Amino acid sequence: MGFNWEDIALWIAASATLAVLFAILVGKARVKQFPFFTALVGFDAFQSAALFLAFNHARVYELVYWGGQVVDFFLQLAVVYELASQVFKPFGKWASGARSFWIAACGLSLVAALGLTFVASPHAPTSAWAWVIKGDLFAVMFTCMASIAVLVTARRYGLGWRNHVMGLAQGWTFWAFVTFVVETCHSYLGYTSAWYDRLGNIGTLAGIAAQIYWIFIFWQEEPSRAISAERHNILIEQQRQLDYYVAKLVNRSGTRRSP
Amino acid sequence: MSIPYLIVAGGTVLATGVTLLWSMKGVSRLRDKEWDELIEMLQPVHFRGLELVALDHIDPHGNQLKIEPGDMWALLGGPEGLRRMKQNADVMIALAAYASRWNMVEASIVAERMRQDAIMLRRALFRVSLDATLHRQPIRFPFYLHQAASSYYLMLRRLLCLYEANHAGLHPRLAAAL
Repeated sequence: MGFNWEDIALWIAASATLAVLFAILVGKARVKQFPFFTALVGFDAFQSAALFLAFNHARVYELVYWGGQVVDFFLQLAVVYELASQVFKPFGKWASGARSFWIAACGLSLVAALGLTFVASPHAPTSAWAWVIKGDLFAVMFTCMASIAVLVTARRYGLGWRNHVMGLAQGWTFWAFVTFVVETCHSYLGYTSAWYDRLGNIGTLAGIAAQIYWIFIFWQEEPSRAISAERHNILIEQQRQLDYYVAKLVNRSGTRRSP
Repeated sequence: MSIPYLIVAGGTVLATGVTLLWSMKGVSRLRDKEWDELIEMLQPVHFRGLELVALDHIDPHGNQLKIEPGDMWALLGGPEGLRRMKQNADVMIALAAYASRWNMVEASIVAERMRQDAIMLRRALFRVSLDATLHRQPIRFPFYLHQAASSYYLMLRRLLCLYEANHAGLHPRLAAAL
């Protein structure tokens, strides 16, 4: 296994941002609201450290890497479900119509992902590598489309978003879409292309950018639903004016009620 | 390198990107807007005409066929009126959600009811616009107009009652804007 300085720099940056993000999610108690997302960040940070330690043991490295890919995929799907359940359950119960629409959109995404994976025929040194590229394409495409389906459903059914959920969705769909583009290029250009690693680095950079954005989002508290002092004063003034006009109308001669 | 695959994959990526931008714009359009900004986004709809068509559907009296489909279309303001109703529906839900700052429970429940009315409204408007695009004059046309008017009217009444009960100070401006 050979790594150049770019790979090592990206590895260190990705591990550091994952560790900071995990610390914030746990330290600020966001884990209660986003358990699967916290688990995914923690798992990725753990896997990154484990891969670093297994660097000189090819067999262990492969085992940790490929085993981690499978766990990672299922955790990503769980995060998409977590996003959907946060948005589609405004009262702890699925909003009417939203669930069936989202499931149908996910079904369509699954068919599209399977279809594109089926027609892809990437150039690769071995058939195993070709299947790895196809598998990555399927996983990323399905995750990306299912995440976008959450946004489409929310728009269609007029569902509201709170700040943390919105921030998670923005970072997630950005990362998922960039990775989808990268894996589509991989599936077209193949493993033998000189662009394979560079494209992979673009995906890693998108992941780091999303993690930095999440650090910023989850560090902040969600705005209180309580009204600001300035707005409160304006409302009191408007209420006072209305009371004045109502009192004036009631006290007009001819409209006053007799005792 | 297969050109047909490039076309299919490129088209899928493009369609996914466009859908992402469209949906992201839709869900973030009304977030973080202040009350005054939301009010400015409302476009006036002819209330009396709307009320006549809506009450003909949800509170019938005497002759239930007195308003002809052509009259309904005119009373609702034609295509411009329907476009305004669709535009206002999302803003009205955002205004109901805004009221949760004063009364969390009632405003949230009212916003949820309005959201369901808005689904009915959008369905009816979609069928009307589909029929208009296909130049069809189907027998169900007046039913869709009735459905659209009554859903919008219910949303409007729910919102006004919510503000009347929770912040009468803002009620007159809201009523004027609607």
